[in-house]
Amino acid sequence: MKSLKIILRFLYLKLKTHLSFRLDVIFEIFYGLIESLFAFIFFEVVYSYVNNIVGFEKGEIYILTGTAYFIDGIYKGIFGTGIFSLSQLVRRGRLEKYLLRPFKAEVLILFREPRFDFLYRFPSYFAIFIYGFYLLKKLPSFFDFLLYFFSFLISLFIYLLLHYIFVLLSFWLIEMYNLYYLIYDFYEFARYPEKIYKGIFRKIFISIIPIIILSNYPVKFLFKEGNLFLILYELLILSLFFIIFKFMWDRGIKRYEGATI
Amino acid sequence: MFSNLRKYLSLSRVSLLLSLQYKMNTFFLLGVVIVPPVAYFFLWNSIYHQKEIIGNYKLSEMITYYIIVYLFFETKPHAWWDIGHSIKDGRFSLYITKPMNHFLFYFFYSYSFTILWWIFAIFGAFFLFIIFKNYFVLPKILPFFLSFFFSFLGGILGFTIEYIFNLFAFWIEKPFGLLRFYDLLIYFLSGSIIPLDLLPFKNFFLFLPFKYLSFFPVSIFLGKAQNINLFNEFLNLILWICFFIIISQIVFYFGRKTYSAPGSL
Amino acid sequence: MSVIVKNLHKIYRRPIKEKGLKGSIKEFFKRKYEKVHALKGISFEVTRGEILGFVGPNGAGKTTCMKILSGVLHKTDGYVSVLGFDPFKREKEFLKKISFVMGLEGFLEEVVWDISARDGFLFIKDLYEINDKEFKKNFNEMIEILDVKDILDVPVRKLSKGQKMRLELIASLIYNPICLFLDEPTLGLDIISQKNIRDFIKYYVEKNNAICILTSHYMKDVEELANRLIIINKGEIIYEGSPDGAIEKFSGKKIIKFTLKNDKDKERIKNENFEVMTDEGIYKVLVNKEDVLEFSKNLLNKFEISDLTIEEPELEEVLRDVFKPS
Repeated sequence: MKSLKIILRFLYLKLKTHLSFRLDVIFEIFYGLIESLFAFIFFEVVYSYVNNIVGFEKGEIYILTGTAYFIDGIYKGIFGTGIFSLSQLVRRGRLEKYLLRPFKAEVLILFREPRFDFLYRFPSYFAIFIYGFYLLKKLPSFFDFLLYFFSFLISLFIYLLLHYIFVLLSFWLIEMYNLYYLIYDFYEFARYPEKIYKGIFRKIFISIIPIIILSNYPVKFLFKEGNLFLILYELLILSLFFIIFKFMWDRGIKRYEGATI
Repeated sequence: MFSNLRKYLSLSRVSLLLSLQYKMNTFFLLGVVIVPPVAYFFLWNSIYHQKEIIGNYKLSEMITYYIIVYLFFETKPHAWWDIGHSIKDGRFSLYITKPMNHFLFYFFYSYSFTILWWIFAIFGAFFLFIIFKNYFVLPKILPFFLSFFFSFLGGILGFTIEYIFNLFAFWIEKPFGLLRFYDLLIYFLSGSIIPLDLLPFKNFFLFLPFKYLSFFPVSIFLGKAQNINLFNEFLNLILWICFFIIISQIVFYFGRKTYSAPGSL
Repeated sequence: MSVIVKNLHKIYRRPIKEKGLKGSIKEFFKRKYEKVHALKGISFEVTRGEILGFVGPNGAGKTTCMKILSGVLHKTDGYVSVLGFDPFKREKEFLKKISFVMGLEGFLEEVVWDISARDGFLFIKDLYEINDKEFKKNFNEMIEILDVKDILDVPVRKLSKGQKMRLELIASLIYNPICLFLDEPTLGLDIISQKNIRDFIKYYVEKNNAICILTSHYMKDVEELANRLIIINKGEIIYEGSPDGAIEKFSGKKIIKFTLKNDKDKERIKNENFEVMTDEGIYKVLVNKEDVLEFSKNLLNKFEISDLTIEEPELEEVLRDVFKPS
């Protein structure tokens, strides 16, 4: 309860700061709008030539796109900048600020730099998502939505841990911070149906760096293609990543040298 | 004039030396040149199972398009957000008390910093060419060099426009929302998401100067510019560059008057 | 060839923040501003060979004035001429004659953070179009005086603050500017480094008959370097003259310094109703001039004093008194 209060107070301060920069807020709203607009234009052009992409109708593609945007948006909005900043904190020897607090440093860092600008993108993402259902002219059941939401949350935390694990490499590779952008680059694969990927590539990005499943698995429940195995698989991946994360964090903290005076 | 040029060449040397300090870091930027074309390969490959030609692109042309468009677009020298940051935190004062043009400082600094990145990116594109060689369209010699030439000029144009957007930091307390918006806008308008000639109202998009950032040079690479008067396009591009350079100096002049030089400088 | 400032005004526009989240949302649609009059018509002149100490509390306007003189900031009103130039025009010949040294951050560190200072100096040479002979002469002289030969090829980011500052000073003076703006040049440095920097500045100004305008919160910088002092507070000059003159003008006080013989007195003195400062066993009290005799008598009667002197206060103490909120 106390931890939640601290986090909420922290978020309140960040929100106040954010609102003081009006033009920044306005342009972030525009960013959300045109990001969704460009995705919309892209698929409208593609679907003007074909009826489906590996069996995905236009409506399904928009639902998949909306889901991919939501996962990425929530991650970046709440945790992304904070996690990435760990590499800077280690590099400049400023991690003490967090290690010396009566609170788990690895959690505090997560909420360090929330970006409220992502909130403004959600209406556009939601619009694409809803438009997909409008085109399909059918809604999934409440239970399907529940499973979708559950799978969505697992995907979000897998994505978070994937980033965190990459960024923890900064305890060992201090100067190579561009390495951590790779996960953002790989996320491109999450935007499209998993069936387009083939061979060894598919195997790698469903298991070792499971980017493809992040948006594809949750939407399967909305299209009545989901099953228990998908949830179990995601939970297995999540557990494995969590173990790797804990292992690396503990080793990394021991390695950390701090600032020199 | 030569002593003027000399100071910027000297700056270029410093910038190149700095970039060599970050070589491993630069190497990891390759993701941005390699990953999206791979994703687009899978996507378009499945789309082309249903149709042989989309717009006026065959599958091989579409795959080549994305490999080269990302090579050209992602290797543009950037004014970076550092200009905007330096105006906000007061480090801008360090530059304007020196006998050099602020635009030229960043121009030479950025271009030289990008040289190493360019070398890595070429290798990255070559790696993709090896993997997707069955889908790659090899250009003739002249279009190959012309495409790189236009990409270079497009880079100057892109840099200048980005520089102007950075200068809005003089008036906007936190300009980074604007810069993010600009980044996304040109990502689309340069043809990096989808070829501009596939878009509705394509004439509008082809009229804008952003096509020179990547779409136009890639069209030359693919041999799709045979019916275009390249000399006219060259003049058009030069005019746009001159126009935006003039705008940048005007914005700089007025921006400086509002500069509040924060920090204990 | 001097620095002339006449009736200089600078007004800033500053947003006023509203309280609470409701206020932040309200502010989003309508923002309020206030005007801050940072400089209220100040006038002064600095000629060649002078080191002018510019002191005042935070927010007094001294850094604003320096920034206007160096061309960084635009003035609101008034006349400014630096070496015959309008600073804001940023003419190349003007920029080649001035130097701006910041205590917090330097141009060398900014540009060559990850590579060596030597590479940075070569760039400075080309930037200021210094000929080879002059560059070599200045370079060799300065690296000798500031003792930086061993660190010329080390990446700048790996150097200590004192080392960086010495290199920044070289980078700022190697092209022989004749007007120096030094903003907190000894900030964060150890005592030895501070002395080295001060000695070098003095040497440079004398040798080149340069103009130097210096701001610092370390009064030692001002006392040792400045031959003239301007005290500025809330945008107005409240004193212009010699540092000794400032002490005489503002201090209606003297410092009584003494040492106590026994420990009992050291405890008892804490209960007295006057403010006592201690500095390595020496006690100091600031007393009004007219009360010195009476105070000294009472002190000698009450305590066992082993040593007692009566002195003029130092500039720092005087200014502390001047800037104390009334």
